[in-house]
Amino acid sequence: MNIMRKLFLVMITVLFGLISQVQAMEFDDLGGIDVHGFISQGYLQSDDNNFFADTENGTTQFNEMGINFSADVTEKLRLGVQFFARDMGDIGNNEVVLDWAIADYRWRDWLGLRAGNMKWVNGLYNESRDVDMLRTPIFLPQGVYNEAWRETSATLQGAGLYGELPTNKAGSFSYDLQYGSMSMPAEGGPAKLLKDQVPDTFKAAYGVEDIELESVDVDYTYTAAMKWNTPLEGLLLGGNHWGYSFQADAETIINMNTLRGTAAAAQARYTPIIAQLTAALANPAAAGLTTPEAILAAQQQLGAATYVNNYYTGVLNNTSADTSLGAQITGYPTIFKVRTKTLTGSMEYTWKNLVVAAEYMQTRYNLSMQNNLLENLDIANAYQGGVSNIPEFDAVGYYGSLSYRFTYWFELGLYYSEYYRNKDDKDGEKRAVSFPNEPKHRAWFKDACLTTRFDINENWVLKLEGHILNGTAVIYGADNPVNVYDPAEPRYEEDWFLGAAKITYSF
Amino acid sequence: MNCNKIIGLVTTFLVGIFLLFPCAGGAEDIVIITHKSVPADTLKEEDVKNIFIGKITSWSDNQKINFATLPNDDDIHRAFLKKFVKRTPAQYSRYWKKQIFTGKGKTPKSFQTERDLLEYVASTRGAIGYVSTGQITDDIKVLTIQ
Repeated sequence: MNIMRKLFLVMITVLFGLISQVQAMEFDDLGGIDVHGFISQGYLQSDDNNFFADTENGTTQFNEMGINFSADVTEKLRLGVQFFARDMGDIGNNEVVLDWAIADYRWRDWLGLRAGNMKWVNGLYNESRDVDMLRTPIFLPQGVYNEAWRETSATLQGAGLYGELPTNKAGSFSYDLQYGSMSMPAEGGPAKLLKDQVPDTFKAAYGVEDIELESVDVDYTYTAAMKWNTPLEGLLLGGNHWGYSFQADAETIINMNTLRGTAAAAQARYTPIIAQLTAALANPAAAGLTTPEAILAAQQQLGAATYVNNYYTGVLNNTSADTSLGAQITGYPTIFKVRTKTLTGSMEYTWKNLVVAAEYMQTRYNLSMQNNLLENLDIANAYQGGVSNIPEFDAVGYYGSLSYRFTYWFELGLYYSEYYRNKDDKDGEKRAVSFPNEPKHRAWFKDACLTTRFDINENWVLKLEGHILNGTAVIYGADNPVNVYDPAEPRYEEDWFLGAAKITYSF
Repeated sequence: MNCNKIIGLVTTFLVGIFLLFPCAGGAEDIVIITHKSVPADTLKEEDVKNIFIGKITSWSDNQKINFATLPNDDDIHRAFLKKFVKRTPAQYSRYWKKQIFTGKGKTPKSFQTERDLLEYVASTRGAIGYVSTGQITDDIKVLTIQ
């Protein structure tokens, strides 16, 4: 446990102990600093499949906690910060992160500026998804609020403009424009998610045994959101467009035994290439290498060719110690490049104690994988050159939900949600070509949820809910490994059930 | 997906709605009051709503709006929310918690009694609140709502 985590837990404990009987605190003696916090603990149980944790065996590794401080520095400027930690299986592990830290300057009601680490605006509920007591269900509908991306889509580091635009008769509009970067850890959710994108056929062609994410470099992320409070009281319509781009390097473990049959041909190919590149780099200008980029590319090609050639020389001369078992080489990472563009449409209608909501989200993925070592292997297959440029595809998700508050302390809700990895391949037929080792139901995820919320008092909330599920598109393959004791046992079950319970204290 | 299970879920939900009664809201005579420095004499109902959900934050003279509320279990508060903000106390409370925990707002100033709220409004520049008609004094301004 690191010092930051210890400090955070001590701080949470002390504060919760001090104010257990108080709804919220405003430390006027500290200059009007608002302090609020929450702590949630849940339990998950599924009959089949692991939903982001060891849910098949039942797990309590499902909690969140946070504490925030905010103050009005002037009439128009507000500063705030929230520390947050969570655990869900391997994700989070209660490491404390800076959830948001913003300077908010509201010049006019129609124009304000926020800068820092801020909540990412997407749809109706993305900003508040880390705080359980702000919604009716424990899990938001996965069709739009996919848990697999939660770590990366929660906050954005950058700046944003926002404001309210009232009209005389057409209701009012609110907008948010945000641009910046995002936090994407090289472990946890994104690592598991990227692993699931590598086709079985790519792995088989090159003897790729495993891929471990090493680093992530985010180029940009942005969102443009508009919400319309219509003249019909209680009806809210919204739309937003958001996207991001990042590059990730993944250590790639390749079993060269898979490729041994090509050794002689490979050596015959690389020997002249190495000679040619060596000569060119000895006199770059004469070889037409006039830019630093061109020289660097040639150096990388030479490095890769030499690496492979040396390996196969060892194979052919039988001098390599591990040829009988197959060498696992890791020197050349696979580079993932991901760009996405998403459109979200939202509707929420509130009538007395009834809230009806529906959202639709479509994400266009541009995804490629490249491995500089594999690029130089002379193998005829679908991924010639070690590059897998997966054709652009659109993932879609949507849901409809109802919730009704019967009394001050009891609320009942339900929703139905669907998600498809590729809207042009809803039944998974096309995916099965690249992923022959996976069942077709990895292409979709359907969820019917019934949820109950009990507001015990202002501070305590208890929730119980059940999910009838069909399909496994959302869950991670890494959380559902092959049973080593019974490899024939299916990794995934198509029809399954997930139950969840959660209790939250907030002030 | 087993359709019978989904139909069962929906039926359970709808039967629940029709069998149980919703929360009842009290009907009270409420007036909107402000500090005497506030430049406005009249407000639209929509403006009152937007002030109390933090979408309008300053008066026409750029003076900051300081709005004050009563507790969730107060009948005047419940009636005020129903009439002007079009939200239940639970919805209003959740709305503000969302602002607080996403870094978009601070807790509304809340008072246990109408008397305390009225004293705050009377003594704070730019303040606005609501009380029952019987609480009106000469220390505050009563707004006309259109």
